[in-house]
Amino acid sequence: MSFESFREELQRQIPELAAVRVLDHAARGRHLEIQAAGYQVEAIARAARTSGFFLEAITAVDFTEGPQVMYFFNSYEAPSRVQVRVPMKPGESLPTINRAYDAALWYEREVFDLFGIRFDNHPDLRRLLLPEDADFFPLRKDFGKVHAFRSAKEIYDKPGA
Amino acid sequence: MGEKKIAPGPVIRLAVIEEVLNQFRANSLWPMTFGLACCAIEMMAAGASRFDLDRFGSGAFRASPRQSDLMIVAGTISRKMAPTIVTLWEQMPAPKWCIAMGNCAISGGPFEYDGQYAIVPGANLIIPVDVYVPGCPPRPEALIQGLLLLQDKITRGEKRNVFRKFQRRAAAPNP
Repeated sequence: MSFESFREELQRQIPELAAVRVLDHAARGRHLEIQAAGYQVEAIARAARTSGFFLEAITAVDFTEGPQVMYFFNSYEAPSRVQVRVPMKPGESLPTINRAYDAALWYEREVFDLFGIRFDNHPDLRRLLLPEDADFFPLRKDFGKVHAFRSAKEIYDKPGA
Repeated sequence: MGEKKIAPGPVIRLAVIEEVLNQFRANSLWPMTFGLACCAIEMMAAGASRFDLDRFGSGAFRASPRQSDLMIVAGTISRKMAPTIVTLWEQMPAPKWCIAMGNCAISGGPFEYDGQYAIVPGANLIIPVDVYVPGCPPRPEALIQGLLLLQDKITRGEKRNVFRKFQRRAAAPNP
């Protein structure tokens, strides 16, 4: 159940998925990095589930090009930490992956709460941590005092990244 | 143009009764079992055997706001918790008092900065506070001092507290 089995499963299910990189875990904190489009997220989650991975986290980062949602899958047999990055345009929505992982609903609710990214077919997309009547998304870079607003290229495409 | 009438005094003078009642109120403050953050741990320590709030008649932490007359706001007040705290305060029967324990309950502490969106910086913004106990968190001794200060406030001076069995070294002067 290392990331290789996940990779094979992915190649079987979504052969057109191109941006798959193997990384040095000691330097980058993850073994496999996948860049995917929004419509591929459900298939990737299904592949992760069938190859025995658990969902570690769903989070997001706001870059100058637009937000990127990050899915982290992992298993208890190293090396297996997988990151799925989904670059998005502002205002775009993603499909929910609750068919593969029930617990994803909570993470998706949190991402909606803090970034304002909507998930299609989510049954209960309400505020989770912030008050129900909050009208802001605090982890967006247009909220409050911003100290660093970087482009994704700067972070991911530099040598050694 | 007639003689200026002087209003007669009240038939029943309640001030004396009130004075007596205040003695009882001050010496049997019943705090509410209610903690918000790490300050609550120190509050529990103050109530436990080593520091023993029972010595001051305040060891009976009540599990219901309807039975308590002292709210110790022990910890950070998050925006989502604030309406609940106001509800609890309004459920407490008067006369009632409030101690803001710790820097978070006084002014937001380390969580108050420009642009923060998660906490209410200060218990006094949502409920009336009688005594502020600074510290992060305050030691149980500090909470005990705050409690004695509140007793002095209720009896209007330490010397007037007839049930007090000791005199504090640096007692607050009578108001």
